[in-house]
Amino acid sequence: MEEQNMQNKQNQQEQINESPTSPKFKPGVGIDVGTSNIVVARQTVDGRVINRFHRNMLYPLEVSEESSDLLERSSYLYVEVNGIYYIVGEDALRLVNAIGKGEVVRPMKDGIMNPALKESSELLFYIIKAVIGDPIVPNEPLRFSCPANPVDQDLDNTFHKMILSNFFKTIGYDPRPVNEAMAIAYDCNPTMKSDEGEEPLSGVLISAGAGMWNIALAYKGLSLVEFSCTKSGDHLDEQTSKVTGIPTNKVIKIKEKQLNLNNIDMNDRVQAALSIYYDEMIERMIHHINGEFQSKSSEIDGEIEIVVAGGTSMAPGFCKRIGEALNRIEFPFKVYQIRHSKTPFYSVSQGACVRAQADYAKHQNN
Amino acid sequence: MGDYVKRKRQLPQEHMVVEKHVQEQQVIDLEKLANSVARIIIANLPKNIGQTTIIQDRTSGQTDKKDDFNPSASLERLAESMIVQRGKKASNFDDLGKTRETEIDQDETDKTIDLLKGLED
Repeated sequence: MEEQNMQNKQNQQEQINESPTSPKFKPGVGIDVGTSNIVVARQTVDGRVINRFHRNMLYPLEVSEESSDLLERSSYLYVEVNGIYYIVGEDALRLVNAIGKGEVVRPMKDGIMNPALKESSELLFYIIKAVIGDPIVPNEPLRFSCPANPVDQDLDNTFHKMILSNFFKTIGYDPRPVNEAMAIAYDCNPTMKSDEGEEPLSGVLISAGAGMWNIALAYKGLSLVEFSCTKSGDHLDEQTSKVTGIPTNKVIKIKEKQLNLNNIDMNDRVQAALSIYYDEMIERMIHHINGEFQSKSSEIDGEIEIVVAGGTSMAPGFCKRIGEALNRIEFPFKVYQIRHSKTPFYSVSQGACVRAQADYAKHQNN
Repeated sequence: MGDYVKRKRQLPQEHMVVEKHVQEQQVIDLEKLANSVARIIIANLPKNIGQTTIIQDRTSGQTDKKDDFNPSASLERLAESMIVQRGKKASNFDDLGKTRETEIDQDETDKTIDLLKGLED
């Protein structure tokens, strides 16, 4: 109920603006380069935040008379590369559901560029450029989200950071990475309560995305520990698809439109499987938090709050399940609150935008 | 009488015994003997023949080697090569995405920016 109210409140706060007039923006842009979505945040001079988002998905169609005819008669957005039409964004998901065969492809996988897709970097850059547009001042500061190295795979994000950084430079920005979970701290400002008062930007941040979940322990705006895991939203979809035999695209649709973790219909195989895999994901998170944060427990002298954001956290009841899982174990810190971001889908891009604005202010002062 | 008979007659007694023994051996089953010998030889062969284990002792007398070469220059060049637009592209859009407006607490954001201005990455 509480989450439903929060969702309604969020819906009231956010108004879909399909054809925005050109507002005047403050310099400093944040971009969440996610496995499932690309979200760009800019703040207007009158204090509003405009988030531009795009579903990071493609549906490949061989160039043929039939496919050309289909694209001419429809309003699907596409890009043609090396003899293949790639339908982009939400249209990719709509088309694959309508045709009933094939799969959507992603330029990103597990938080970094998808090595299995030959054209991943070219397509990703083409799409990002169309979403972010040009800088509003020369060398405008830009912060792009970057995952921490995962605990479950031998991945190093250094190369991913370098590629994105070089790309943003070529289109006129002054780019720097920002840890995905730390960006949530800059958007939501978690506080730690101690005998000396409240410490700002201190707490545990959880970003539950599609390709990864990222976790950071922040203290006064600095990251003490950060790590990630690739068993997140996409993993839930794939596992549920495997055990139920329902295609992943349909599982995604059910997860996003119907799933309520407070009220699972256990007769529905997809809902039941998703619920079980959500629990497993949360247990895995808590297990790794315990392991990774144990050594830092002496540095945190107070009660902390946990702030949660990300698309995978948007299923109603997600935070409640984290609370229940925490009650079952001995956590390294005292937790006074688990807070769901008011705008879970936009927290990373908004936090990155705040960080970029700070970069701009620092640059102006120097 | 040929030379052979002449020489035999000249041989001492012990040579005659030996010759007799050799003549007796001719009735031994040679095939059986050969098989017995072969069995003995096979039984004494190394058991792991054909599965020779090569033991490499790379550390004896040496310190461990570590590749401490810094590959960042190659990574940088690779990263640059990745952003080259190779294929010809054609699309039916100039910009992408829907927009959504959210509200933030400006005082809170200003405080955060002030704090972040003093921090290094």
